[in-house]
Amino acid sequence: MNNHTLLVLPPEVIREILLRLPVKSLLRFKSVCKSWLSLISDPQFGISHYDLAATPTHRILLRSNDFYAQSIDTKAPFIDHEEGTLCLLRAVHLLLPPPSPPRIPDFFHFDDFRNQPHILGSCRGFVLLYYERGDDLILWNPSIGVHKQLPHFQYDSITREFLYGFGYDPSKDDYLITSIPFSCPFSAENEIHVFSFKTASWNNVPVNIPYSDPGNCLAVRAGSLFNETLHWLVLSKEKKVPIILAFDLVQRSFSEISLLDHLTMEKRRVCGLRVMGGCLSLCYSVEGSAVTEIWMMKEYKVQSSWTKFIIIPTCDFYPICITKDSGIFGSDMRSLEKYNDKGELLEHRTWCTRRVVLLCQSTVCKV
Amino acid sequence: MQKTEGEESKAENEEVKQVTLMTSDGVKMKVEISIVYEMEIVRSFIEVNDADHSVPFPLPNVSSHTLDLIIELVKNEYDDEFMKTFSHDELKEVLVAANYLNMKTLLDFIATAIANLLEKKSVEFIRNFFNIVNDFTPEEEAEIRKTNEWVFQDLDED
Repeated sequence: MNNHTLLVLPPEVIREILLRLPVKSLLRFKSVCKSWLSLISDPQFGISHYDLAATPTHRILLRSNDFYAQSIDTKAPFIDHEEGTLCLLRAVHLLLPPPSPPRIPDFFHFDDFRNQPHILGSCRGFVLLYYERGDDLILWNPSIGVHKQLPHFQYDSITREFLYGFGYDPSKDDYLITSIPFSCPFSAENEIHVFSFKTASWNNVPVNIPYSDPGNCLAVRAGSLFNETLHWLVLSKEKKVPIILAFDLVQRSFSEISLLDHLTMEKRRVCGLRVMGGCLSLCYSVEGSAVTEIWMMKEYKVQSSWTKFIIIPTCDFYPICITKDSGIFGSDMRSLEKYNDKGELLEHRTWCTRRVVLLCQSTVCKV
Repeated sequence: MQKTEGEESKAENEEVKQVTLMTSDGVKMKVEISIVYEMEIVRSFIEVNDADHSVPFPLPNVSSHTLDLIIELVKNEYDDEFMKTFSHDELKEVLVAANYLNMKTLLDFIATAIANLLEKKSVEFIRNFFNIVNDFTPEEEAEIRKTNEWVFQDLDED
């Protein structure tokens, strides 16, 4: 057998390898040759790569100014020791897609702040941006720089609604925005608005929503996406206790998920909902102590599976994700922090973090 | 692995449950039926035709050396340590064979192994590894690289 023949791999075999590489490697290998560039840029390849999820990589994304967002690798150390202290966080600057010009010429510049996009959520590698002034919704994949704009979204201001969320319905291959307005105090009847990117239209579903705002930070209003379901922390008007409200994007139906009973009562106040490590997670502040407890629902919708995961020795802690050694990555609005599995602070960096989304990188470009 | 040049009796083959495969370099190899059943291309043929297992099944795209490696991998339940002894050419040959034979578990295992090997490699390393000729002009290549400069950081030494 001649071992020196140059073995040329058929394209379908190359594809099998590329499907198992992380997004960062794929972006680099676009410059290998023309056929690799077209394969990696192929819309169907992007979907298959995301669905196989052989090497999912997560970055956090935050807005730094009107023009740029920053993306940070959750696995990388805060200070790169090889290159010294100058290389903090290795943030990658990404140029935000531009909004359309305002429909009404802006003679008064009082509302310049309205030009800054809100980051409403993230799903399948896409980030949903909302520019109030142009009333633009932009679906943006920061990893590959692809974006789709929906001008004149014709909705007053989604961020001022009671609850909103961004997700994906795999049964219709459609990206959806869900918006639940504040209910009228005299009536429990209400409507939920679901926007479909495929049809570029709103659907209004009448629904009974006997819930109110649990009365803390605004971040609660953005739904947490887990599989095809959006979740919000709300107050049940009937029982006067916090519960998790779940909206299934495929079935278009609501359900309730209970918090652990003894927690809903004394000394602890629930202050945040996240999806981490494949579980719904809640943050609790504990009366009389400056700690944040993080609890995880180990089995979805099984109330008895709520388990205390970690105690963080700071209040106002906002978890972002679990690190590979079972610690936690989060922020307290002033800095980014990493704790180990015992709740000991490992690293922290002052970093202004108002709204942060966790982005699962993808090369999906088809909307 | 046992290699036979002559015909074996049908009765004996049934007893040990083996199938004879003929590789591209003309070697007849008797392979346990449990391993052969992972090869969808052979399995479907055997099941449909209830074939005489003593008649060698031809594998014109798989060398005896590659088939040996595949049999050892399956026998060792896809042992990482054994796979790490493979040369780059052997990895690629096993991958191509796994694809041809339609061995899903092996294809996933070996494609993942190659992906792990290449994850932090430079573009130049990739071209060498796959014998790919760069068909970009220097300007085109520079343009593609410029869109994502950060992905060229933190690479392994070639």
